[in-house]
Amino acid sequence: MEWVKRLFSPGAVPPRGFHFPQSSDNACPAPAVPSPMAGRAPDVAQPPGPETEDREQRRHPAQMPILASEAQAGATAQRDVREALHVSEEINRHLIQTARDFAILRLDPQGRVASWNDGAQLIKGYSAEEIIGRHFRCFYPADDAAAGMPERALAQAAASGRYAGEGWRVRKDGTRFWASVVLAALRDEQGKLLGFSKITRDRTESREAELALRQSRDELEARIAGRTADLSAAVRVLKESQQHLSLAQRAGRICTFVCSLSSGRVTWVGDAAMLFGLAEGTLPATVAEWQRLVHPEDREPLEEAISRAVHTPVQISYRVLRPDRSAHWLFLRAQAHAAEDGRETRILGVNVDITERMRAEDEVRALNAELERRVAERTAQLETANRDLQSFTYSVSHDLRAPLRHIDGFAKILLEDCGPQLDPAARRYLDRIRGATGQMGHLIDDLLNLARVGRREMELRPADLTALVQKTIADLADETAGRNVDWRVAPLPVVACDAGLLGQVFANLLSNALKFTRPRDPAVIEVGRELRGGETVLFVQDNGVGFDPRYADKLFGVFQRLHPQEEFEGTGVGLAIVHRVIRNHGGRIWAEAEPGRGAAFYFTLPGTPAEGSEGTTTGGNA
Amino acid sequence: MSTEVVEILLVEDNPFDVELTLLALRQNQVVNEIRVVSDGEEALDFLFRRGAFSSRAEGAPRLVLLDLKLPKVDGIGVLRALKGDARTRMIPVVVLTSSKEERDLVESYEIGVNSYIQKPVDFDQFREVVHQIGLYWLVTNQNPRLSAVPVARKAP
Repeated sequence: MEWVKRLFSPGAVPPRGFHFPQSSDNACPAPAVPSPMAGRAPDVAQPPGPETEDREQRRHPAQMPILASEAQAGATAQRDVREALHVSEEINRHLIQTARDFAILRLDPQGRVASWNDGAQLIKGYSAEEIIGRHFRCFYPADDAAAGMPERALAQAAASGRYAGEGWRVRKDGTRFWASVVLAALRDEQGKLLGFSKITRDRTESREAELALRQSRDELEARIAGRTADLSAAVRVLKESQQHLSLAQRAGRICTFVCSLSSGRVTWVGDAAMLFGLAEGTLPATVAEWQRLVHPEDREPLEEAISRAVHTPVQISYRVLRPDRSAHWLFLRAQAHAAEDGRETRILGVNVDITERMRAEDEVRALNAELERRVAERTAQLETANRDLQSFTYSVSHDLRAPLRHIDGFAKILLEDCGPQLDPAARRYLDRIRGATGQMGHLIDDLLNLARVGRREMELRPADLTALVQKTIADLADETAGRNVDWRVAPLPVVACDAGLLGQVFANLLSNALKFTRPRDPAVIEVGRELRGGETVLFVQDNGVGFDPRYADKLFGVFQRLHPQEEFEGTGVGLAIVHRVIRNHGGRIWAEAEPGRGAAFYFTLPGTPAEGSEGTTTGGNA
Repeated sequence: MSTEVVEILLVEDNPFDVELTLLALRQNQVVNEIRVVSDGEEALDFLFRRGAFSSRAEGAPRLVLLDLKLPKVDGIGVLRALKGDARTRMIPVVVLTSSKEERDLVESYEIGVNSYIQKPVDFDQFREVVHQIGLYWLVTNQNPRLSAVPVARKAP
């Protein structure tokens, strides 16, 4: 309130007291001259003003118009005071009249407008001429006026000396404005009501501003609340995820680290203590300290890896020595990362405890080595066994046959040279000796053949089985001489096989068939194929003496014979050879027969094509 | 040593085999001069005229009947030495053995054997085989004049 300060400049003579003017003059002095001097000059009238409302409110209405009249000695002094008072009143009147931001007016005890200042005209739109004498009810909106608000305000001011309030008021042109109103009762010395002072301010703008402010404050608060909620949710999620990460790192025996290149300092995240076997808080703080925990052999590679990480992502397995001297394998993966300010480059990475894995790998390696060793050992054993077997068959081939030859040779010479001197029994014995040596020779040859089949590396090439069978039949010409044999060879497929070994199969099967059909005329021997369970099966069938099917499974064993030697000669090795060849080709062989009604040998060869892919040679009777 | 001209060298360690082979040869009217040695080393000494045979008269046999299973140097070793030396390379060698092992057969032929025959158990068949050998190598087959081939001489 600069103007107030100026008004009561230190040079001004403080008024000692005065009577409030009672004039009904238009330009009567407004009662509401605010004064900061209140309290210091209790003898000066202190009508309520906007700035002194609170203080004024506490004051008893009877105290308001203060009349101080002291008998002063000396007329001159009194005149001076009057003079000064007059000047002061003039100034006040002027101030009131020209105050533009306040409507300052006086009402008569009935509420009619008695004085009107410039501010009132500006705010309410009426000129003094238009409004003086009119009831101030016209300033109220119709509703409020009808509700008796103007009268209530006056009544309150009259009763308590003051009324203050805010509300909508109406200008002359009907527009509304938000008014702050103070009404004060004016009384004379006897307490008679002289009227009311009324000060009105247009507070529309500040009210709007206030409202806007309140609204924006409310919005802001709502947004802050929203943000706070978001943030706490985010913090919760973060905490949760950090917790999960921590748990996961612990479970995975993983810890991450950040290493500053400039300072060499290392920051650990996760359960580094567990990985290094250290107590919490004693973790290596620098690369150098970290290196001291590393197995001496792995320090250099680790250092090299970390320095390489500046340029390229690296990974390395290294060992740390725990305080208990146990070595643990860690796997490090790291790469450089520029800090956000772009100035410092840091190495970020993870350490994973892979001790268990390394242990497992070591075990696997050891197992593999052991396995390899055992395989090598076994192979060596087998090679030795194979060599032994080879030298055995070689010996058999060489050494067992020699004595037979000698026995046969000398028996023959004995027969030739001394035959005439020998009686028939002695000659028969010599014949038996020779027969037995011959049989023994066949046995040895067959056994050697069987051994050779097992030893031989198979050469699989497509072979025309029909041609193979025809050739075998031709080779058997000596055995069929003088016999009536009906060969029935169906078209057979071309099969990938070892033709030499398959030739032996057919030779053995066909000569077997020939042997056991010896009592038949004609002997019927059929070679063909049929489909059994979706599989092509080859067969050799005859109308010979057959065999008891109860012994069918014995047929393919070495030295197994189902017929007496006197009836059908043989060593019992032929079918064993057949079995071995078929088995080595990945096929199966079996026999079906009935005594006296012939026998049939069936076998399969993997890769045998289905019907319609016969070889070029057509089958037929030989 | 004798000065006779050896026509057949029989390399055989088994005396029974020697006896039967000689019998078979004689019965087949092979009357040529036959020399028997009982191991590979002796065979090589004879052929290269060294050791006990250093004073042997010059001249290579017309046929070598070679067993494979022999003491000291085996038949394959003898064959290799003979066929690997220019002086003896052209002497016909017939392997006469109990074995018909594939590897012996293949190896013998790789070295350059002239015939490979497995001795049959049956003496009749053996006699027939010996007859064929004698007939073929000593009568039917034409040899270069082996006597003209320079054989190791003793230094004068």
